[in-house]
Amino acid sequence: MNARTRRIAVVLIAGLLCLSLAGAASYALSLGNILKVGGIAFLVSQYGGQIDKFISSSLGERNAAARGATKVVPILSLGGGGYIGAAQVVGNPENIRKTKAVFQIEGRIGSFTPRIFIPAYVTKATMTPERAKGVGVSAVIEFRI
Amino acid sequence: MKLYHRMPLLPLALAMVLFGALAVAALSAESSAPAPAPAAVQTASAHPDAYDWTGTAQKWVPIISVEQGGLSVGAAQIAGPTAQVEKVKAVAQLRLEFKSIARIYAYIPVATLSVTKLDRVQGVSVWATGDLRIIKF
Repeated sequence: MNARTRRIAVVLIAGLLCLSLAGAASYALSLGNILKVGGIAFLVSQYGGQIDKFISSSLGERNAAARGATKVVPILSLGGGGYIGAAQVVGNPENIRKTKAVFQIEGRIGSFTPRIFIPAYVTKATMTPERAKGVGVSAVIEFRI
Repeated sequence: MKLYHRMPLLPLALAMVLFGALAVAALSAESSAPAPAPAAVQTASAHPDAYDWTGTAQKWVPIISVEQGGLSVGAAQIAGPTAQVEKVKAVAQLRLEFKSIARIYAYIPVATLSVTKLDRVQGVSVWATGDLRIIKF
């Protein structure tokens, strides 16, 4: 093996090493994100009742708490950087019971920030997600992914 | 090169898949158990305020948002029982943000435009908002 071939081999090995390290880093990041999303969604579904009481008592001090049918479900926000957390939903009691999660679609055009909330549930027959009608959002607590 | 640019979308896509899987798992668990209403839901029938949900009305009202960064105004789409929706004059948004790590916000549909007292209209919820920051603190 001459000097030139050896140099090319060293460059190739270094390149492959860099690529593998970059791949490992991105994998670690995605795994962290998955754990964060899964962990927070699990905690919200487990302790939804307590979070609901906390939100209601916090807003109740200002006479602004939502009464009637309320529930806390996981919320996933997309478009504004990616957030996961808990949302208190208010509305039709029948559909509130069905609601399993809220998806928030957020945009940013300069100083203008549009947001759309989609409370959703999964139909038992077809196992497809559907919008919960007559249900909206009252309060949100969320963390950046 | 194209694959490299698509890499940041991978965690988000996986997160969405996991989120969906959790929702399906929660529903499956509920369907297998013959339990009645979950304890976390406070029903309207248990409360003196029981509204007529047969005809849900929608309306766009002004939204005023007070946050650490400034004051924003815009519009919010609200929905609820017709009688309650008619009472709503505006939506007050309270917003707190902690160094882009976490954020808390509450939407309060109000019947009066009083700054000192929040007069919440019960049974009304927010579906969509759009606000524009007009004053920076």
